[in-house]
Amino acid sequence: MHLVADVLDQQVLDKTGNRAGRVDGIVLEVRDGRPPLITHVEVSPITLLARLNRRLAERYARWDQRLGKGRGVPFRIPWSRLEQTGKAWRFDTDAEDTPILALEDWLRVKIVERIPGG
Amino acid sequence: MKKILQIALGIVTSVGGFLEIGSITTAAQAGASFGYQLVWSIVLGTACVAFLVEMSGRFAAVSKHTIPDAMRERFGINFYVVPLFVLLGVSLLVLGAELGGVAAALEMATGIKLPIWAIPVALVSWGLLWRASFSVIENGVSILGLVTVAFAVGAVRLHPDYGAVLHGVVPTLPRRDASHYWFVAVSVLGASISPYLYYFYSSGAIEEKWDETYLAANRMIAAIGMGFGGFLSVAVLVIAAILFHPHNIDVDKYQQLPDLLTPIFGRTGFWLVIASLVIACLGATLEISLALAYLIAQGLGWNWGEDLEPRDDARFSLTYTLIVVAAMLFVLIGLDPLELTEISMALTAASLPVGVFPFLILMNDKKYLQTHTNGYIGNAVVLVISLISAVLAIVSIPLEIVGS
Amino acid sequence: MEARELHVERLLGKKVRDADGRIVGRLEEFHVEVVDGEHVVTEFLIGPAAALARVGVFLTQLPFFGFIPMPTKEYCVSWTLMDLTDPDRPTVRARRNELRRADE
Repeated sequence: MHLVADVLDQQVLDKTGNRAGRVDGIVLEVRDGRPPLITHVEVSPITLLARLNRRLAERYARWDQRLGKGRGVPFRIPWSRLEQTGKAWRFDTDAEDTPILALEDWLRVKIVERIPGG
Repeated sequence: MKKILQIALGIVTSVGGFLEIGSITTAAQAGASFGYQLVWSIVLGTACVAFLVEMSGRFAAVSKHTIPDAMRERFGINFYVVPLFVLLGVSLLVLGAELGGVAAALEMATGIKLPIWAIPVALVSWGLLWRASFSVIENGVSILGLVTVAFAVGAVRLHPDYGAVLHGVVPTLPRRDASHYWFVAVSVLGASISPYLYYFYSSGAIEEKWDETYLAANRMIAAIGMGFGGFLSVAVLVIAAILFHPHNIDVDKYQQLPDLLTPIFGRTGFWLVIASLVIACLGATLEISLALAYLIAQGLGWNWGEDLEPRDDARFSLTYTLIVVAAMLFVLIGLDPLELTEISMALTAASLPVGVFPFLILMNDKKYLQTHTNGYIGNAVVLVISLISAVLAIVSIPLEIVGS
Repeated sequence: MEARELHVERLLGKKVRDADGRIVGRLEEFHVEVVDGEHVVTEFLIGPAAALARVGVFLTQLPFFGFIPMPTKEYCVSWTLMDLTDPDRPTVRARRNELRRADE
């Protein structure tokens, strides 16, 4: 398996099969005398922006913190909870129970549902 | 039986949805300024887009990915932002021109000034995106778009010299006004080969859950649908060549567009042009807005889908809302739709390689397409035409600016 | 023994130097294998560093342009030779000409 070709930027699906973002980052643990271990993937606009511009990512992280407690840091999925289905990666939780959809939920409640026909 | 109906629907919607402000005005300008000499640019542009649309449908049906999906996955985010921003920028200009086209038609119909129509037209477009399902948008507006067949009827009524029209299929060098000739050729190419069109087509194929059994239908829809659409563009060119060219009339004001059909159909011709502009440009508005929203949503991995209620894909819905608002601003500040059309068509041609090259790489990637990768002809046609368009555009745009 | 974290997406594209300080290339890919039940990175693929070469590689992926010989040097480096103590300046613990070429 290759990390860049097969994992990075691939679609992430939640337990119910819904799209829940993409693999924006992969976290390795470096250990003495042993090869680096894959520990997590990150699904977060903060991680994504950091690949383009570090300062933009920091500014987004500060804004994201205001959305709630425990926010402002990239969301991590432990590698052990991911399984490959086709080209996508499925993890064993409902996306509703994760911060992945925080922005989606906030927009839905604050804006979309206030517009007629939403 | 169902497949035959779907093919028929696909062809009808392709034909009905082919013309929009870009193809109408550039074909009219080509005919008015150069007679039948630029028919080749419509043929080349239509051939290229027919191949691109077929590829797009095939890609979605076989790989079960949309083009933006695959672009992010195959090339990564750092590369993806380049076509993202280029397409976004150019397509927003085109979108502004389309909204402007609807507004211009309504101004001509009612006398109420163009900028006043900006908000109502944007509101109607947005309302359709917000409430209507994918099929209603894709099919409904495109079927109404068949009103543009009036141009084909009109062209036939003028008894053109078909031999002379066919002569124009062969590219010739300009006898006069060389830089303007190539600029108009480039605008025609940019109007025919719209990146949002084939990017959108892949999302549509996924929305309609195409699979490998649709490949033959896809080929027919692309070839016949785009082919007949191209004929409509040629019809507009022929009309302008017969009515405007002999009198040295150039098309540089949108108020001239009804003159394409009024000499042939009288007052009815006026309303046919108005209806064509309103429906065709509205259809293009909806399609471009969705295409750009798909580009962003799919690249970022959001949940997306026109058939979902807005509450189920809030980010996607709000993205196309912002896109419509942004384009509306162009009309609100009073930018002339014809000038905006000229600029955006030429820029589209200049930026073609940015969207087409990565797509061609995907179309030859066995990991996505297995045994259905591109053949030599498809690769050659698309590569050559998009390269020619870009080179011509880069050369002719500065010359046109200097010349005017 | 402290556990340190690295981000693959930040290592991607970083210039890699050899023991003499010469540029080997840029980090392009990470090969993963299952060792003792764990998913670990066993090899690093290092590709061309020059911007023009990278654009060239992209262009040769286009149909009909694959015949253009792109003199790209790609190296396959085992994790044992990779020094990632400074993730912004990864190095290999060997000389460039000692490294295994990817096409071997």
